[in-house]
Amino acid sequence: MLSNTEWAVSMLYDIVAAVDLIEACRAFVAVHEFGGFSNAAAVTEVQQSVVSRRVAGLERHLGNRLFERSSRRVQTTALGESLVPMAQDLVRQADRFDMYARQLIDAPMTVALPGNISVIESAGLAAAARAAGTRLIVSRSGSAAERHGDVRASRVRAALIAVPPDQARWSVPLGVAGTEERGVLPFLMESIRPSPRTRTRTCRVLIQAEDDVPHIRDNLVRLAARRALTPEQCVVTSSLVDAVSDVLSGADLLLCSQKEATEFGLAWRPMGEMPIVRGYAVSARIHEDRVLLEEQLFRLIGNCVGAVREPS
Amino acid sequence: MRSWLEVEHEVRSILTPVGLDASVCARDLSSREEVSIAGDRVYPIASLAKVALAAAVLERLQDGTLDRATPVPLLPDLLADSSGLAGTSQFRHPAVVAVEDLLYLSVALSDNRASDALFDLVPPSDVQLFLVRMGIDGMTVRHRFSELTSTGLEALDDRDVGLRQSLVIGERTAGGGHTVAQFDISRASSGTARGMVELLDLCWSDSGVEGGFDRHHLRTLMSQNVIRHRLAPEFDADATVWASKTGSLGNLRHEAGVVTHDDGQQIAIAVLSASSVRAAKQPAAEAALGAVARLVHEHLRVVALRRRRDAPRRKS
Repeated sequence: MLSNTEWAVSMLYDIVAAVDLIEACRAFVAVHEFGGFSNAAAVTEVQQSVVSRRVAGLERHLGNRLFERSSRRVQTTALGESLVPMAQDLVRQADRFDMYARQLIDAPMTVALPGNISVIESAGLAAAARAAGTRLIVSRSGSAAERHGDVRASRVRAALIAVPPDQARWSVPLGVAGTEERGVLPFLMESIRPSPRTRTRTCRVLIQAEDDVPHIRDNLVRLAARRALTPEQCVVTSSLVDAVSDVLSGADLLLCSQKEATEFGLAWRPMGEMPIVRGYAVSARIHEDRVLLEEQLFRLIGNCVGAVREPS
Repeated sequence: MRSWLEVEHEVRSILTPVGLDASVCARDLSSREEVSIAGDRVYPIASLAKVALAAAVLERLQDGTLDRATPVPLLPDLLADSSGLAGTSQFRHPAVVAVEDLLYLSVALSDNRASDALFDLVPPSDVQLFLVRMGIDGMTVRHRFSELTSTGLEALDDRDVGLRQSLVIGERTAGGGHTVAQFDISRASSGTARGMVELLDLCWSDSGVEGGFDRHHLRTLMSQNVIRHRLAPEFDADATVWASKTGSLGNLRHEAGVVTHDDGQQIAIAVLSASSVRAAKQPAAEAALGAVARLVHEHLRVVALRRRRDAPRRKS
């Protein structure tokens, strides 16, 4: 019998040689089930010397014999008999793991992308992915928080999440879009400072759910407070449709990318006082998924989100 | 004429968009008709306490304990943070100012240094006793004004105004308490809108120098208030006199005063407010406070005019 210390040390080796343990169990179960080393080797199509080595390794690890090799027939020891069920479970679990992993890898890759990507653009991405050997299924969501939640809960395999520009793979400079054509001069928050004396309708900057993140929302709110705007002049809207409708019918402005402004038929100006930038990065558990999005589809995704060509 | 309920509703619709929570109290000083919204909510009153201090000093001048011409030496405290303060608070050299002139500086310029020089003569506890004697229970004076600028938040420089405001707004505790003593109603000089109106009523109740303190003098000082950006824009006119005191600290913006119309009607108005916007300078909030004061004032004005119109009919 091994001492407690020796048990502990051998457990450590087990963690490192986990696969070896599974293969050893596979061999052990086969020898038990098929009544001998040569039979086990024949049925499992593994060399007999390998089967013997694996069983011997397991016995050495346990410090006890699993089979009596004294007579011509191989006899399973009492310990061996007790361990067979659990060894069978281990092997079964390992196989199930392999199958599940393969399913995941062979399954189509679901990816959550920002809501402002069009149907045509999504189709273009899927086509490019297919050419690279992956079936891509695109879902679109206008909420950065929702996409992040989906990938963390494994409802999708990958997502484009919102990050501060210094961590981003794609950067999208934001500005304000409105109905009035005001040329190319940058927009200053101070220009919509309320004038209580003249009582003109105050102009609001509307922030969409996509930009409801600290590096965009909080920077803008702080800037608004410093420029003596009222809190209602810089708000997050729950509905992009409502926001665009407010912009179309009044003096309000929508915080968005130049690409979005063009799509909505609005005039766009970049932010003047401080740069406000959407940053996108890939969140994906599987390395190949990440590589597909960050490398192979890099340009295409950049075009879809309206990113600027900048060394990242 | 609109109901008071409608006025209340409109007040809220003016305050909410600019991030303000406010208490209002207004009283027609002749008819004693009074209206209020959250009139008994307690706030730290900041410089509004200077009105009580002035009244207490005037009482001492009246009874002879103090002489109006007594020269008071003022030594500058060059280490103190005096940003945003006015008058002798900005003096860099020693000066000598008479007691009566300190009163003017304190009330009309909200001069902290001059006020503390008056507190040297009539300590906060004595001012508090004065209030109790006068039956004003909606106000408590606890400390000197130098305490208002030694919160520790002054260490944050001007770029961090938003941070300073965030700390003031965020460190509130239940029931009006605060991590920072100057904003804690149990440790700072504090009061209610109704308490301020009571004090104003006291100051406007006599036309002369009888009984207690020279109310006429105090009324004159308040009419000479140079700080006129909050409620004054709504009341200033050649036909009216708006005499008031403002109080500003952190996210608190207050003003209490009396508008005297040339037809004799006098209406006392007190507005005490707290902002949830992380900015020190908020013109939109100041304008909103003015609009609220104006609304409430108009309600009382119309009520009084109606009463005057209806009175002869009732007799016949």
